[in-house]
Amino acid sequence: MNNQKVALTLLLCMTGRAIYAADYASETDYYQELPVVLSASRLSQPLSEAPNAMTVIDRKMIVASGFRSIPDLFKLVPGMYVSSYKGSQAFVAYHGSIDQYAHSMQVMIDGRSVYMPPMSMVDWADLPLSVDDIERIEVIRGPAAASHGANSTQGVISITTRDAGALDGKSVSVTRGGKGINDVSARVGHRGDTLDYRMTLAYSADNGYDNLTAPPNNYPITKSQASSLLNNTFDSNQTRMLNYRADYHPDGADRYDVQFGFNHNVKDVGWTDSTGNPVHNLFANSNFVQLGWIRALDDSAEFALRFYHIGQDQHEAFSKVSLVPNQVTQSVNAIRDEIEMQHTLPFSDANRLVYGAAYRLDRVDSLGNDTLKALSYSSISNTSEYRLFAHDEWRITPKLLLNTGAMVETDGMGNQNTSPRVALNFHMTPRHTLRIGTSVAYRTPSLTEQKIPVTQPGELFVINAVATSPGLMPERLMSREIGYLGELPDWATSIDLRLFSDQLSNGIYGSSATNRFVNGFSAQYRGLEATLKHSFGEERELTANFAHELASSNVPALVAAGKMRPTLGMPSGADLLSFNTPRNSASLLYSQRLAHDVSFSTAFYYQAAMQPFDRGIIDHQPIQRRVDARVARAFNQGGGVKGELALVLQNLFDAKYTEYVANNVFNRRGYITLTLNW
Amino acid sequence: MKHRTYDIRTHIAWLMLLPFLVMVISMETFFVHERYVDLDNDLLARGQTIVRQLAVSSEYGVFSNNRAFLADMADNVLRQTDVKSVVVLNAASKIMVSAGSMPYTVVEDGETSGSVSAYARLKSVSRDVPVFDNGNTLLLYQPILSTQLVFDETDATPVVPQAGGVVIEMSRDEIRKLKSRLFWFTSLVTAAFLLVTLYLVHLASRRIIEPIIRLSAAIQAIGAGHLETRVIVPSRINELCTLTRGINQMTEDLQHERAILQRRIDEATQQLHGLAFYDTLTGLPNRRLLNDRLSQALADSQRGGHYGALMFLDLDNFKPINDQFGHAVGDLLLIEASRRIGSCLRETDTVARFGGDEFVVMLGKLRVDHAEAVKLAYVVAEKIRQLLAERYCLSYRPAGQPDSIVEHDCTSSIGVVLFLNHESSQQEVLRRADAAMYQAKKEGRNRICLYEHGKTDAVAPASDNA
Amino acid sequence: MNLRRIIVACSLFLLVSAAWGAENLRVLVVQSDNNTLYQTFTNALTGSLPANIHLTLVLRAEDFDAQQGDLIVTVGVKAADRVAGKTTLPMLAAMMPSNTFTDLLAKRSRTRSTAALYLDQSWVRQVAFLSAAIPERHKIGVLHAADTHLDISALRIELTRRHGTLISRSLHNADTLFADLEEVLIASDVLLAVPDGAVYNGSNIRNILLSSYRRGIPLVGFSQAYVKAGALCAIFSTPEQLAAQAGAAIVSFANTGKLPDTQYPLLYTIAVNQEVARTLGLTIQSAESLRLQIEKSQGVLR
Repeated sequence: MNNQKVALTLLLCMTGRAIYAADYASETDYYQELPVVLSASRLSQPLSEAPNAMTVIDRKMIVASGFRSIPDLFKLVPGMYVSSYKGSQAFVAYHGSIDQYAHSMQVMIDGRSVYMPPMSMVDWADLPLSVDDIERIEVIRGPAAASHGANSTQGVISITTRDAGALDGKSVSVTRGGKGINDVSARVGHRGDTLDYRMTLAYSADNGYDNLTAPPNNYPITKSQASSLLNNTFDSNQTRMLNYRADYHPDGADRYDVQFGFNHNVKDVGWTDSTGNPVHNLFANSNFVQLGWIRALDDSAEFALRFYHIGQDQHEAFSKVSLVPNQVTQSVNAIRDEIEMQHTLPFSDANRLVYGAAYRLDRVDSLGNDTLKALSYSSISNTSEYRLFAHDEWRITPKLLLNTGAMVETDGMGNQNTSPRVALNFHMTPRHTLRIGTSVAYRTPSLTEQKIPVTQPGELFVINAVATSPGLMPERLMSREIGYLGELPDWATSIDLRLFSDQLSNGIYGSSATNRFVNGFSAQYRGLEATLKHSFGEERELTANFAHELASSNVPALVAAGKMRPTLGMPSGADLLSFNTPRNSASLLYSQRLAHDVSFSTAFYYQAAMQPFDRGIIDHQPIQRRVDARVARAFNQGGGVKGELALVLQNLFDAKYTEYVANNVFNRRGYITLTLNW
Repeated sequence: MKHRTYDIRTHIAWLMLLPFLVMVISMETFFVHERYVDLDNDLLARGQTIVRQLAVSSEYGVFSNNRAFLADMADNVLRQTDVKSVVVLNAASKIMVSAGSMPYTVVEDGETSGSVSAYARLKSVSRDVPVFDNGNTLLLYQPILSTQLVFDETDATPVVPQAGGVVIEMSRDEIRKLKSRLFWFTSLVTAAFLLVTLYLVHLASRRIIEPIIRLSAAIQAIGAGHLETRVIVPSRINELCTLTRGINQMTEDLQHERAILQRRIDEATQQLHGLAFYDTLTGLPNRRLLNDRLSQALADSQRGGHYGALMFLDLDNFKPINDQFGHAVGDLLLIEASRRIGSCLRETDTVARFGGDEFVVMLGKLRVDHAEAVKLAYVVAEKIRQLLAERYCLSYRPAGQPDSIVEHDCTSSIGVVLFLNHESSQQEVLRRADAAMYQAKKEGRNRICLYEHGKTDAVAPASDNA
Repeated sequence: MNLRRIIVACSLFLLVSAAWGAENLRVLVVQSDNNTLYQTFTNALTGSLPANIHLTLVLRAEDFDAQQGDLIVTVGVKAADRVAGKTTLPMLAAMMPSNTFTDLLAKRSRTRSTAALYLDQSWVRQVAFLSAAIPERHKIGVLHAADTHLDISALRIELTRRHGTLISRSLHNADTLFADLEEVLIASDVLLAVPDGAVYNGSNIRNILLSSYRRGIPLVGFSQAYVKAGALCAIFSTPEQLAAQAGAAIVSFANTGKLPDTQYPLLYTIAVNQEVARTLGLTIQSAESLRLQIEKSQGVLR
């Protein structure tokens, strides 16, 4: 055989191969290596395996609810109390809150804690996150310190934002409505082979609550009082924000997550009848950067490293109304840096351990100036804390799941807390699960509790340089619960029931005797919560939540001992806390897809009457009954342009109700949203 | 010989069109012909009437030889349609007056002049031949008879004396025009009618033929093996609906049948192939399949963290039965033994025949705890040991003799080894179980022996003799 | 009944022929390439053969040039393609996707006796696996390349027989992958991955898995890597298992002088990702129970 022939044959072979290599399957298609996509951190825990009671609000529910602000979404969680101090100062609390700061709920966005000093609260208006960028929200009802650290005494809100690759294209959305509702947002996203990213630019504004037109609760007020008390013109809110997320996955094993965001918020604060806190603007600039690295290891083990930085700069300037007007300027700048590593290590199919460590540095830089008193006050506070945690998930038998975990943490004040948790999930059948759990959690006193400001005009707290409440201990919450989760596929129904008993000890309260914060408040919360989900075929879905709660505390004893001021108008010896928690609350969300791309959803919210703990009985909050409705029509413009036109009506039947403060009146309002995607 | 085939559409079209076409054409021909004849007759009748009248009116003129009068009259006649020329002859057949296109001139002396042919033509009609028709022109002759009767003495019948004659020439031009107009008109109407018919035929064929074409395409597809083909024929024709249903049903059945058949073939093939991995006598997995199962069980045990167990079984006095009664009976005993072993196991466990009278039992997913796993493996092993030790009653038929029953007692020695993770290789696990089994044999048979690192631990029969 | 008799006859024949004893057989093993995949196969094959069968190894397909022997075993498509046009010896094409073999090589082969040991599972087994693993889900979605060589209609028939529905779409073009995928996902409740490189490859799998996961739809893969990546489960044959079958075929060739029929894998592995199952709220049985169910449904000898 001559050489030429061989070469020719070889060439033919090669070209032949090249042709089928593209078209025909070969063994390499079968044995190719693939990246680990659904790794442990991607997979959400099913409710029946979670060591806590958990409520999930997914994208579908978010859309169906029609809400345009994040805190409102929590109305869909049983037992959750969502309210506002002013139109732009929302707060979310579980088991009610004794003030408008709702200290005891941890809030995480993609693992980033936005529960910020010095107030130890979440400023919902300052988050560089728009409702439409949320993929799902998991709300852990009950303490979860073992997994989420301190300050999750009442629960944890864990927000997962949409994947970097969730949007491939561009999107613009415009919302217009009553009460100054005016939102605009633009999104751009790209889904690539190794890099996904999305970016949101948004502007959002509204004028807050409606005005009160008659004295609240038939409270006898004078005419001069009426003009100030009833006036609620000044609670509007304006936000401009940017949010960016990128996911870089160069190979099968590594994933890098890059996020940053910025929020510029202007809100009306203050009161027309207040001298120390007159009506003025509060400016806030918030930013964050978050970097994550996840490496998939062998045998579904995983290593994750996360760093984030949050900066929150708030400032205000106003003229204090006094005999001689004087100018007050105050600013609070809070910075947080945290680094966390976590290793997920499956020992076997039945046993998995997650452990890790984190270090956090909080810095609060506050400054105030009062021209009249020629007073300048400032303070810098650095707190560093670290924590170690381990969590083991052991399937003893297919029916029995034992979750054990603990977190050891040291806060900046020298307190070392160990928060253990044990929860046993018993799958009576794969569809019926019983869960028995007990856990302990602590809340670190906030900076403002430890270092009460000397003077506090305006809205911000310029904390004292030295501790005013020395020896303040963390609050401790012990929780016990029995839960049942049932799936009834024949009826397309799932049920989530929970009986709980929470015991708060060492609670922090402001003592009227010493004018400081001290430990010594104790409370007990017991109740029942239920969630029912039912789908009528594929087109219609119903979610119903109900909560019944009873709270009791040692408030009468504290009042009797002169450590706490009695609330005017309340019967003496009454336990104020038991009125502070709405006894019954419920929410219903029903959504239906109709023909011609029309979808309809309606929601009903109910909350029993209650008395906000730190407000007088003038602010007694009557029964809330509210019906919302949303109708949307999707359309396809052709040429790759799709869109949706949605109409949302809130408080459809105009059942006027108030929230937290008597002049926070919520009347019927509506808005229209037009969204275009291409 | 190959016949040319036509599709149904052509067939139907020809069948419907051909008779129609024949009928239409013949009817048209008939109709046109009739009309032509009518026209011709009409022309003739008209000519005769004119010529008769002319003859009557000309009597005086001829009699009085008043040419002017005659010419006047001839002109009047000429105004009648189709009359081309008029010639009045005197009694001597001399032209008295000639009007119209016929080129005869009247000469004073009565002599005619003009073209010879025209004259000849004029001569072609006479009293005896009153009508001349050469296709182009129609010549009519009418004698002018005197109204005065002349009586001949010799003859009883009066003689009507002829005073002259009249000839008119009728033109066929008009008629020809009419005929052609008629022809074209009828042709057009017929064509239009044919077109409409064609369209109707097309429509009809659509309703009948389309479904049939679809059905035929479907059948062709089905024939080609595309059994997933279904036809949907939106027809109101009963027979077609039935046919459609029938075809769909048939295909479905066929598909079903084929799937079943295919599955049977697959299964049979699988079973035939399976011989490579199964023992042909007992139907149990063989060494190869056991190897595969064992490697999967080892991987599984690593993932789940639980122990598995492997048992090596050997029948203690199997050889005598083979020697005494032959292989056939030995085989029966092996089959029975394998059945007994299988009955002690979970479905997910594997029992394999390793060759001869050796069996291997593999228990997957026992327990996470070693002691518990050992206990469980013992329980199973003991169950097997007891069951195997029971008396065997084997019915067989020796050559040329009636059925007979062999009773035989046969115990077993079992070596057990526990495995976890990949702490030991497949071969090592098998070797250890084998070693444990030999230990059991060494210690007196009919017992279970557990392999433990370094030593093996035999368990004597517990209640066998009780 | 008849079938049983055939089997018994065949087995007897095999037994008898085995008794003849095999002469020394020279087997030439041609690997597609010299990497771990083929090495694993070859090592396992070597281990499964008796001593009287001599193996000669050609490490790369390119190195093969009409060497001699009694039987050629090719490992992989490339090797089979190379050898098929060059030899007249009996050829056993191992590790061979069935559609590639039937569409390409069976026609091209110069040698009369060519048999393949397929790499992929038959639809019958695949569907039996689906109905054992996720019995409550019947709408099986398949997204395949427009010019796929897979026999989709055979899959449809097999699924219909098992009371399932096939929702299949072909990829319009590479850019519309996600639009096409969405179309499939909307209509189905399981996504069955198929070996179409245009759809399922290392760079697409990420977004495919994430899209299906977001919709709560499990992906059923066709290799261990899929299960690791996040597929719910997969049925496949490992190189070792294919080698064991090839070993059995070689022994049978040594005994009878005839190649066995082209056949699907006899040994297979089932992998289950319990973690994914739990997250999707599915209860899936263990691999062993699934195997048992498949074998029961296929009526395999036991």
